[in-house]
Amino acid sequence: MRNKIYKLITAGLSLVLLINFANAQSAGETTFKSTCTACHTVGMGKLIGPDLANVDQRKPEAWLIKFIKSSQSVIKSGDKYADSLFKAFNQVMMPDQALTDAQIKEVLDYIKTKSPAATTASTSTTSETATEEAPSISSTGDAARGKDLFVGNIRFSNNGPTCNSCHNVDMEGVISGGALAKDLTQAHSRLGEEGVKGVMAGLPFPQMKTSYETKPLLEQEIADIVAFLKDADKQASAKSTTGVGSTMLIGGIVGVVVLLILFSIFWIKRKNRTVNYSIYERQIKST
Amino acid sequence: MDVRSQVSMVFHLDKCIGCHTCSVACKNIWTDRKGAEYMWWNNVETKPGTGYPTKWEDQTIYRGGWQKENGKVTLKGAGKRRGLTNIFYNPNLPVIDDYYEPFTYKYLDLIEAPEGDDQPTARPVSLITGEPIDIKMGPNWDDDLSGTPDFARNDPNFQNLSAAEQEVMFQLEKMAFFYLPRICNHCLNPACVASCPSGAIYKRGEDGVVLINQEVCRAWRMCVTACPYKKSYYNWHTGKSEKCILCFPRLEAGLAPACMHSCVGRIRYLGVLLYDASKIEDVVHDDEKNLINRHMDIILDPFDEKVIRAAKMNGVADSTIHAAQNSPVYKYVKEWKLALPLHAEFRTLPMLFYVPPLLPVMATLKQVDNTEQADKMNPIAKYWDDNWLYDTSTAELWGTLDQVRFPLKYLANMLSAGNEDMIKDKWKKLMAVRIHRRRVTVGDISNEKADEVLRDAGLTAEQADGVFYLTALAKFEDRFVIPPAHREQAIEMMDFTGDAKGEIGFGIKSKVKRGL
Repeated sequence: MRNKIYKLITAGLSLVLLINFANAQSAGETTFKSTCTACHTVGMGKLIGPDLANVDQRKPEAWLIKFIKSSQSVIKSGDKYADSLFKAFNQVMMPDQALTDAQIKEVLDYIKTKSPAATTASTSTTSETATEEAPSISSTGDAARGKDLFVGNIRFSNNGPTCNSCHNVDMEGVISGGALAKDLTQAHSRLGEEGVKGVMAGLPFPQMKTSYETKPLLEQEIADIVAFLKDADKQASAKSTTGVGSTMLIGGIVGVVVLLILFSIFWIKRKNRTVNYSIYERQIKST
Repeated sequence: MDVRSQVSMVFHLDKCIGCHTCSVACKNIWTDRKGAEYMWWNNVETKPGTGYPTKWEDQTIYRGGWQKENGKVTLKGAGKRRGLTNIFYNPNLPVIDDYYEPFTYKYLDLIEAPEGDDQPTARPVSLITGEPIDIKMGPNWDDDLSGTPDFARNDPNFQNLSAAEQEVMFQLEKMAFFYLPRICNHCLNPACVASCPSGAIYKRGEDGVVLINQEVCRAWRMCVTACPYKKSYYNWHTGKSEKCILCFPRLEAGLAPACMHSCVGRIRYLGVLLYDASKIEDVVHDDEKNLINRHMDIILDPFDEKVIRAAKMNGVADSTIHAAQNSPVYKYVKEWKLALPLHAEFRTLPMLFYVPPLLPVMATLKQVDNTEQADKMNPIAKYWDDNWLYDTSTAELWGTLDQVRFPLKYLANMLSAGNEDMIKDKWKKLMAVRIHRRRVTVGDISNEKADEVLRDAGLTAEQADGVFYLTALAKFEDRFVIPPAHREQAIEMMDFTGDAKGEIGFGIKSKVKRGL
């Protein structure tokens, strides 16, 4: 009996190991595709984050592992390169990745294999190829439908949670959303069309991932929401250009002065000091 | 005829010695509390003088009382439009410096100061801030110093007096002055009641006492502005306005108000007057020169059967009517016509009347030769070498009236809305009583002369004796004829008493917690 069980277990284990070994080559690739592609490309130009081609030549592996695990702690530690990256990419925070060192190494290995020769990678060509290849989703979104989806008037077909339960967009006619996650009013200009799409398709943020992993958004839905966010961004930027700035303050001060003058005219007959004023003024004071 | 009863007062200014006992009695009973230190529900002013608060009579400053515009009588400082535009800032309020900043002294320093080179002193401290202050003023700062440039010369009653007339008064400064004790007038047409946005002030039905309901008062302070006598005060601690209550708890117990009870000069009289409430509106709208006469017409004869019947129909109790018949106030005001309301031109129909002072007016100083008299005296007796005569006699009866040293106009501005003849009439009566009594007691005035004087003044010998009795000899019960309270009947006029069963007292809304 016992032998039979042992045999079964060893057979099962060896089978699992075999499968693992068979997939070992593609482990880095799967991790990269599931967690990184929303924001990054290899040799196809910038998305939300930088192009990762030849990233191993820019920084040592130990630094990369630290950065991938917690980008913000590296930035806060005063690393100048990390800080400049953060600023160069619209201060969009790279979410912390719950990956082991081994997994990260696999990903880095995968990037290395995919990277073209560092010298040949010119940014102009890569960005061109990026725009050519990256949009895998049709960009003909319907902004009105996007708005309905965002607010929750229409349900996502896979029953994903409504956007505005966590996100807010400042736009006329749109009900205020939650404050649990990033305000998306200017998401379009911050991340670019590809970036916004990438976030919704690739789900790089852990909370987004748990919310939508089993209930993914359809391509058309993503396109609609992108169109809606584009509109919202346009409106918001149009509004911000009419900012009043210091005129509000000056107007306020002038208004107060005018009101005070009006009041003092209106109540000019009021009794504004004691009847005994002149007497008290003449009296000798001890202090 | 709508007959109602009013507990009314007469102050005999000839008798006031300015001792402030009334003020102190009132303060000890009612205003010896935080926030009320500056209040003097009863105060005594030296006249000429500016009073308390300073220049209260000048309504161009405080805008109190009523004014007649286009035939309509409206409040000077309040009303719908004015009230709305000033509802959050009442622009004519007297400030604390118009009254005076109340103070006390740090008496404890006198015994607790550490030993040193100097005598310990009790420094004055403000009763509002508790900080040491320079005392700037008091409720009657000028007290016995009439004629000071600060106060006496700013007296609002000097209006229409020529510079020469004013100068005459000040030539005799330090001599020619009198006192004006003041409490709430419990007016028939009270401006304070009319001005209150909360409806907290009311005139009690059964005795006409004007009261502020402390539970309803919302600190608008419109009454402080509206009362032309400035007899409504704002308590800065409780945030409610307060005023003289005519000691109604004492009245209901049959006692005279504290100020009257304690008056050493016995100048105060209190009694019931019956009046016709239906005529008030009409009288208030009359011309200024008719105001006082019309005011007197409202007061009804308590012996008239028609009046008695109408009074009973209105629920006025028999005992109240009886008190009205014995009222000393009725005698002074209606029977002898000796008393006048203060500043009738404010149109509030005050029910406190003043007998104008005669003494500072009638006497003249004359140089005489007293040697013959002095020789008759025993040498042991103190030799009298004063050759001045303080002379009140005159050959042609009313001679001194025409050469008074106190301009009539001044008193007229105060007590008769500028009508000098009215003051002259009262003076004649007061003088006639003196001449009549001189005939009776001294006998150096002939009967024909004395009778002529009485006839001229419009008094009979009996009336003159009555004036003399009530002025000089009156006992407590003669001066204060207080009707029984009839509190229960008064309540029944307004409410069904069953509603209040199980509750106590007056004006207390919350029920009492009973034991068990």
